[in-house]
Amino acid sequence: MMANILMCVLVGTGAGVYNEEFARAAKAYDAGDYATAIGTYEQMVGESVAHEALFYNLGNAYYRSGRLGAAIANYERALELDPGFDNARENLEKAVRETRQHLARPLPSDWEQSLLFWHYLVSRETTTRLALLFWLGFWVVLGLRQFRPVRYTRPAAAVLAVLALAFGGSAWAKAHGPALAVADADAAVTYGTSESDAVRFELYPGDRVTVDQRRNGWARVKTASGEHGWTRELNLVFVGPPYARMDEAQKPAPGNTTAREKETSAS
Amino acid sequence: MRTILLIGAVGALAAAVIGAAPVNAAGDAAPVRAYVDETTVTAGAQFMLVIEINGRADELPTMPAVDGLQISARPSTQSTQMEFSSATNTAVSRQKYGYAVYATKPGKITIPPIQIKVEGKAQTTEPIDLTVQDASVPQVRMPRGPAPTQVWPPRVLPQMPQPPAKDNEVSLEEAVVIESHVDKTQVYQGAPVEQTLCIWVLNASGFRVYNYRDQPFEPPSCEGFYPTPLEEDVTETSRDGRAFKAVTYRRTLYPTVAGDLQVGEWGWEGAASYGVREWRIQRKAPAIPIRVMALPDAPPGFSGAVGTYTLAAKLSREDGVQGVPMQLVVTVRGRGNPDAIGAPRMPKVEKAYISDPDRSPAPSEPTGADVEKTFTYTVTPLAPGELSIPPIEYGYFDPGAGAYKTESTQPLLVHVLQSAEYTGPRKLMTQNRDPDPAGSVNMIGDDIFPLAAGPAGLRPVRRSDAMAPAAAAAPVLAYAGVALLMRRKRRFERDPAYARARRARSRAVKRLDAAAGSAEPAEELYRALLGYVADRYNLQETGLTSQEVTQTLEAGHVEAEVKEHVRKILRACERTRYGGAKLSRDEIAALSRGALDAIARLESHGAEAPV
Repeated sequence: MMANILMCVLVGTGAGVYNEEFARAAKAYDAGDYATAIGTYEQMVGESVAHEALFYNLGNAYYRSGRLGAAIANYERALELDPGFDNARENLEKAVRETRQHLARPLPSDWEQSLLFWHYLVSRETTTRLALLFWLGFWVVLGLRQFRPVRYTRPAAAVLAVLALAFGGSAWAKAHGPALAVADADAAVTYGTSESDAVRFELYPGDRVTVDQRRNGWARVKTASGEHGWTRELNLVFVGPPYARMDEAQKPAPGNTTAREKETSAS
Repeated sequence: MRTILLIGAVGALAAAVIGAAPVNAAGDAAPVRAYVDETTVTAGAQFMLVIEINGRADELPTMPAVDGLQISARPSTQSTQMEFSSATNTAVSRQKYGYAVYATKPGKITIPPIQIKVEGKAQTTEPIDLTVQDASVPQVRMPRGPAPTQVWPPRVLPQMPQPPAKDNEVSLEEAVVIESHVDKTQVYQGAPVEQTLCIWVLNASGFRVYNYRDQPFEPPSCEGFYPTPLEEDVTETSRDGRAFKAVTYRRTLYPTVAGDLQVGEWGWEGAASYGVREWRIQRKAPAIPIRVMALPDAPPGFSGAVGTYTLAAKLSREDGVQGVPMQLVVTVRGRGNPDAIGAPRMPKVEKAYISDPDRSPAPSEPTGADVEKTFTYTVTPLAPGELSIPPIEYGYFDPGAGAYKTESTQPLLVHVLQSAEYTGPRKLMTQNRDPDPAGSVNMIGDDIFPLAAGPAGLRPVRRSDAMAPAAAAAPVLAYAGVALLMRRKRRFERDPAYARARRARSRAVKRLDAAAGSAEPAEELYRALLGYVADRYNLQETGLTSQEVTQTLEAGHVEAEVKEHVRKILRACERTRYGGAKLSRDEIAALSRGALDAIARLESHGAEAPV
């Protein structure tokens, strides 16, 4: 009992601290001190605080400081947690318009979006919860049948099982499917995982791609138009959890050159 | 049986009702009938004469020769309809033959009765009176020659001889005409040349022109030119005082090289029909030579564009912030090759960094030679104060004037604030939204939306990934537990032997505990042990003797030592019972412990030994 009370007090105190930090960052942002705002927000992200408002504000701070890639990644994070966050969507579109290539977000095919609209309309957390809820419901209905036969329990159990499987599959796909990533620096995309491979195309800050494979610090990326190739993971910011800080060194690794640099060195 | 009869009667009645209607219709109709689709016709226009025959015609109707009418010898349409009469149990066929007819002169004309032999009997149609009016539109003169035998679409249509035309007639050559034009034959390299291709078709009743073999439209070759996509337009217009339908294709050609070029010969192939007659048509428009002059020596700053252009520049904000990028949008509008419009050169600005331009991803659709192209530059002010962007210049060649020209924008002035002075984006209140109580304002415009308010209770989030498998497994385990319990309960209810065996030990232990305090402890001990064996092996407890217990244990393959142990306890209890001796407290305790030990060893022997 005492332990529970102590836990509540500790958690409550912690929540207060984070809210104070959030307000402090907003004040710094309003004063034009974007570096302080970013540092404060990122510290909270580093301590596993995840909230759509936090990522949205962090996106604004990065946008103001001219880091389009980080801004777009944070707007995407906010929208992943709350797909109905209109301001985040507007700001994301605005930021994308300012990117060099205006690359569209990689999206599934039209039929997938139409058929699996429920998959794309809810966040991963909600999908997981719904899957567990339907799963629990399925077993409760089966359990009821153990005590006495009730009408319609069989179709009800079947419906619940289908829903649980659908949302479970959706949650699994969200967790294990291609990850959305945003380029945070000029990045050369090559045919293979070697610096000596020919450059296929270039990504610029803010370009969104999906990553379907990761190998030895390299990520295989795919653009909305279907172009794909390998680039260093360091050039990318991953949108999905676990949420990594973006204010830490985002410098290209040694030997990680852009196509332009390659051309210059070749000439 | 009654039901079957009733259904049969209803079915027969329904069949009679359904079958009666067509029989009557066929029976009441005249054996042969002739009619036309219109009794007032125009001279030269086609109309249909239909012969309807009820019954089997022995031969095709023979068309009479009528002065002022031209009736096709063979029917152009034919249909047969079968009707079954359940009353007479016979099939009646109804045939219709359609003949194409042309009136060759105006006036009153009568189609005389037509004789047709139907099922061996000669039948006659009623005469038909026609009024033929004079043609008010020019008529297409039908070339003489044999009637075509192919049906549309023919693989090869006959090329008909063209006799001289009369004044009120239009020859086939005049009825379908094609033309190819360009607006100029001498141009500078890169300057637009408007090309027009037109197919004129006489707009007369009954005259139709087809795209022969459904081939796609092929414009003439234009080597050395960059062509824009074709635009199609269909109009009804007049040509040489006659009504025509004109299909016009337009495109713009941009010469890419200097020299004597030409727009190639244009060939068009189609087919025309007038009534039942059809002709293949081939038309050709001659090649058009175009002289392309090279551009004079270009001055510095020439963008590569040829045409006439205007330039406009606009900044995304009227005031800027040091270090915060803004957009400068430069739009080039005018007439010329859209692919030749290069980016305007940016002047050097010391207090700002100007990026390379981003061309508009989807330039506006060109209308003829009118084009618009947008270039977006990112301008990042480097210092606070007034930032002046000098006029942006755009050099192009004007082919009309035959000289190079330069367009320039007005200089742009921006007030740049220091980062700390910046108090957020310019606030514009929308008409439909009220400011919220917290004092923040909904903004529209080109800037981003402001910060979101802090949510209550921000705290680190534990990912539910690790918990999800546990949460998913919990209901399965709970269900398994419930299912096992319910199964056990049902077996207890269904299987008394099982229930007795399961409860035997607890019942015996209770009885042994109670034995110590009873008046006859040896009797109670004896009954408790006997009761245990009876429950365990589902035997009748009443009348069970120690000898039967031993035999039961033997049949159950109980170890000899355990069996002997049980027998000894039972014997001891029997001796006490029948000997009348009173057991001491220690002896009762020893016997009770022995009985408990025996029960424990029997329990470990197996749950259900065979009886």
